[in-house]
Amino acid sequence: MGNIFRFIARYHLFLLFAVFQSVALVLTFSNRSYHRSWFWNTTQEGTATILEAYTAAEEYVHLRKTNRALAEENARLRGLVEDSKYIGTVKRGGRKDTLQQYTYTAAHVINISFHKRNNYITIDRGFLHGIKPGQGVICPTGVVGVVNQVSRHYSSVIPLLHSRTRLSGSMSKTKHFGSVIWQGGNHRRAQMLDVPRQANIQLGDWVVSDTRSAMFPSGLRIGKVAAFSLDPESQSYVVDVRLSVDFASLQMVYVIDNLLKKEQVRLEESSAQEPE
Amino acid sequence: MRHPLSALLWSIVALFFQVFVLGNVQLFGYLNPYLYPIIFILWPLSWNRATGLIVAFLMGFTIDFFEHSGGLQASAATLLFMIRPWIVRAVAPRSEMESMPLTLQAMGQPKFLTYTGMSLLIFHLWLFWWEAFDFFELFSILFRSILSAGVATVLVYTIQLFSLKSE
Repeated sequence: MGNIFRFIARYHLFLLFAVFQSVALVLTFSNRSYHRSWFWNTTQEGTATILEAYTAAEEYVHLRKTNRALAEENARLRGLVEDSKYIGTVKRGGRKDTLQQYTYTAAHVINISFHKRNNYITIDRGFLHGIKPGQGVICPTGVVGVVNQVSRHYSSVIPLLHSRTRLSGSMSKTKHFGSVIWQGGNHRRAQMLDVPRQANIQLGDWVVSDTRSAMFPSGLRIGKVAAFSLDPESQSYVVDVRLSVDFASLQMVYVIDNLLKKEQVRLEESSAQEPE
Repeated sequence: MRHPLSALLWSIVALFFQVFVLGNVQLFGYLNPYLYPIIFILWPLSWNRATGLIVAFLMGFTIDFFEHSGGLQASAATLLFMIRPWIVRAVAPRSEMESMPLTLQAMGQPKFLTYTGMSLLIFHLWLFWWEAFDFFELFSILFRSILSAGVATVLVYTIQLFSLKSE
């Protein structure tokens, strides 16, 4: 027993250091469980309140630009409502059956980083407003990311600019799928991998979201093809994408609730489990 | 930083500056220098090391909360604090380091810059490595660490110059 105490007394500094290092590194790699804890919730509320006050001042300076983006989006939405569409069917009087699939919640960005390897966004809507982890986040110019953690009034979003983000995207013209990832550095540049060789890619083509992940409606802009090359090993294209969202000036976002997500995911899971 | 109270005060100032000023500075997509380790660099060697280690952990952890980085900063901060005596020993001969304050004035320009530069480089390397955690990004990590540590060293040096004048 005495030996143990002598050991602790002698190496107390190193032991303290070892404990701190293990705690810190475990927390770094198990972000999920710890963020969900009571501790995270209360501290997130605290830090978010401070950041909100800071952002309020910053936002005021950007009002002009934000307004413009809103106006542009409104214009585009008007183009989507049924009234402004030409109905090409010859047969008249047929009833149209529609079902609401996506609903949107507007939120302000109160904290954002985009110059690190792993970036995060905090928005001022939480589970009181119906936000849930795993929901998609977009802005007037395109796809932003995915909701990660949710507290009462705030949520944290993992944007595309994160080492663990893999968005499924497709080429708007040929509809070929690929995964969009970000490899750090320039916050306007991302890569799209695994695009099949058959896709006839052209510079300037739009890369858009698709419904494979059940988070986004299809056709939302991710970015434009800036360069592409054929990977000789996998015989698929590696595409450089110029992101349509400028994370450096992000102020307003919309969180998407896909009302049919559960149904899609459950169906896909059960058909994957089916014995052959 | 001659009195524990002033060290505490400067630690809080450094935290705020890191979160609200440097945290919002974006340069070329590569540079994100961390300046708050200046507190551990200037922390007198003669003070209790366990206390200093706890301060380093708490400061790193606070910044982790603002940056959603789990315990990344806490890890880098405690590492820097732990290995600091060895860096000092490598830079300055044994006999003088015992009671020497770790400032630009006391150490002289070459020694202080080597000590600060090495400390900040190790800090940023450790930080960016665990953040990316990918061997394929090794060169990018190295590149970003050298740039960010360089900028942080210049900042620390500038701050030291100003505090020299005011004394």
